[in-house]
Amino acid sequence: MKKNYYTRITIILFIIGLMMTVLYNTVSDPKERDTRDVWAIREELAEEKKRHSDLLEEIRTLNEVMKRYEEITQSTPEVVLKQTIEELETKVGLRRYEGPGLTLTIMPSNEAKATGKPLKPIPPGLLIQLTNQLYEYKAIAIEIDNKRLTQNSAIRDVNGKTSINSEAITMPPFDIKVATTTIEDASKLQSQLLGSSIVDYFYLDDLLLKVEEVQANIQLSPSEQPFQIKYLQEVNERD
Amino acid sequence: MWLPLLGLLLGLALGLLTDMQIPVVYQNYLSIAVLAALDTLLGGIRAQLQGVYDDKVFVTGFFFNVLLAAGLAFLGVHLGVDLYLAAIFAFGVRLFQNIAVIRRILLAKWDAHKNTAKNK
Repeated sequence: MKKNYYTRITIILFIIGLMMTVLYNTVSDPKERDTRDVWAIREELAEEKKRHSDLLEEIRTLNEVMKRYEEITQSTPEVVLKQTIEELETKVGLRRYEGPGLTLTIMPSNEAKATGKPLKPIPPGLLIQLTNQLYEYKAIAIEIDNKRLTQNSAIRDVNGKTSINSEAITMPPFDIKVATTTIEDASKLQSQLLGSSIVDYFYLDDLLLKVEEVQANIQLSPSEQPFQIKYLQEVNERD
Repeated sequence: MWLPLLGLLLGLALGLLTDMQIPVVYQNYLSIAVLAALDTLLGGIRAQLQGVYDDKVFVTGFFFNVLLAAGLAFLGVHLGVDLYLAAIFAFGVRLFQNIAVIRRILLAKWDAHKNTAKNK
């Protein structure tokens, strides 16, 4: 009788213990509380949507290329290959670019001129921030003081002079040419630039960022820096 | 005497180590089931101390109470009335009553034990 009692109590206690820990696990499941509010979630959603549309855009372009390949594949595959290479070279900045865009002029501010402050080169950090912002506003190619930016371009300080690809850029004033895909994009970029705080940052460094009018046809010179491809290899067809 | 404690520890260890979880929707049912189980357990201990313990009553009481409590909560969810509060109230009251009875019996036993020790 007594033994039976202890066995039953043990089983019941085992079940109670199990139920309690399961309950504990369930209640303490989200170890980190989600503290995002509706706006933070909306912002993340907007970012994801942008990525989605970018990916769709990329798929569309690749589909077009594939279609072209299919169309001309029997007759002259070399033409398509050459075209693709041309497109890629234009994209990375190895070819002259012609298309819609706008010019930005960087010059010393009127106050600096009036007070006779010594002219300083543009700080590399500021230039990097400007280029980042331009790419964010859908710029596809940038040329700073006749030096075309590529994927490998480095903007940095070399012996007190701001340089791009180890070539020093001149003291202000100089031009920055920005190319976009369409004229609409260019005018959008223009208004976004005018509304952004980057103009104020230039002013803090005694510089003036002047955004010129949108041009239907702007010319960007090719990059003179050779591309060093270290990690890419030719595909072996047998593999 | 140590066997029940071992059972409890075993249950806790199994739950913690396997990291078992249930959907959040059923959390209410489980919490009420835990309460029902505790009530039955204390009822069983009280009955044993009073000398009226019955194996069948204890085991059926455990399962019946757990199922009834969960059923009541389920019904409450579907009727839009917080019926599980009724179960919580009933089990809560009984829990305290049982604990009070157990305490009194244990105190009485202790007193009796002390008196016999004195008389010797």
